[in-house]
Amino acid sequence: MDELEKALKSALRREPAPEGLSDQVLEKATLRSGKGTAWWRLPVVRWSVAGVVTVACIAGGASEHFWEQKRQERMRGEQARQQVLLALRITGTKLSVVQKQIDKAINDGGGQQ
Amino acid sequence: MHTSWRTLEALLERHQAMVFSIALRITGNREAAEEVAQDVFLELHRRVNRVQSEEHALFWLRKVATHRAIDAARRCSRIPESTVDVADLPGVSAPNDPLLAQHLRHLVAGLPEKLRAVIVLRYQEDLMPEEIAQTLGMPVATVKSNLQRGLEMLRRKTEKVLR
Repeated sequence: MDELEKALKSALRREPAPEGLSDQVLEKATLRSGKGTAWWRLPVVRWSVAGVVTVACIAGGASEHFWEQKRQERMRGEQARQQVLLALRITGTKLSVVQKQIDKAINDGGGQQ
Repeated sequence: MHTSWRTLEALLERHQAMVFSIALRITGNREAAEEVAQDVFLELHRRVNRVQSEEHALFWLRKVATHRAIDAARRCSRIPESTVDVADLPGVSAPNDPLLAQHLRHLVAGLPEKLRAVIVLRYQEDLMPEEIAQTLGMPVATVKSNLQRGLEMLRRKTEKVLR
């Protein structure tokens, strides 16, 4: 193989087909063979379905995130409420003990008089 | 139906670059080449049930792409000859020089259709003269003489650079 042949081999390398050639062929083939039997193979339908699925996934994910946040907020609220109730119960118990001691001191003081 | 679709999709995936490139080099025009490639695959779709094997499909695609591209090239207006003399191209020396490659593609596009097809099948598709003869439906001797004539025409225009 001489220099010209090598140069030709290099110059005439295959080029990639244009973007969308397959889709155009499949679309035309669908329309020709058609009567709409394989309408779901049309690229426009495929892309639309892919778009709808993508949007649904994103919306589903966002919704899941929203409800998870709400659930955690509710859990935190419930925990805070339980803590407040516990604190109130402890305070009530302490107050009750103090009240009993006061009553006892008063009664004891009254008896001595 | 589904099998034929899958076959068509698989053949498109594997051979669209080959079909498009043959058409592009023979027509010298991207739009015409795309049209030829679409027509070839649509024709294949009509005959997909008759495809016997991968090799059969490849042979058929090459053959039909070449013939359709020759027809399209005849319909297209003549591709203008390159006004650039390869000797004027700065720094052109190696066989894989991009400037030389571009010039050569233009020179090939300016060859008569049959010579162009033979050159493309020989140097792009790496086919032997016997295989080219089968693809184009012509005697091997004719392929060889077309190949020599084509190379001679190209050599005259590039001899200042390539030896």
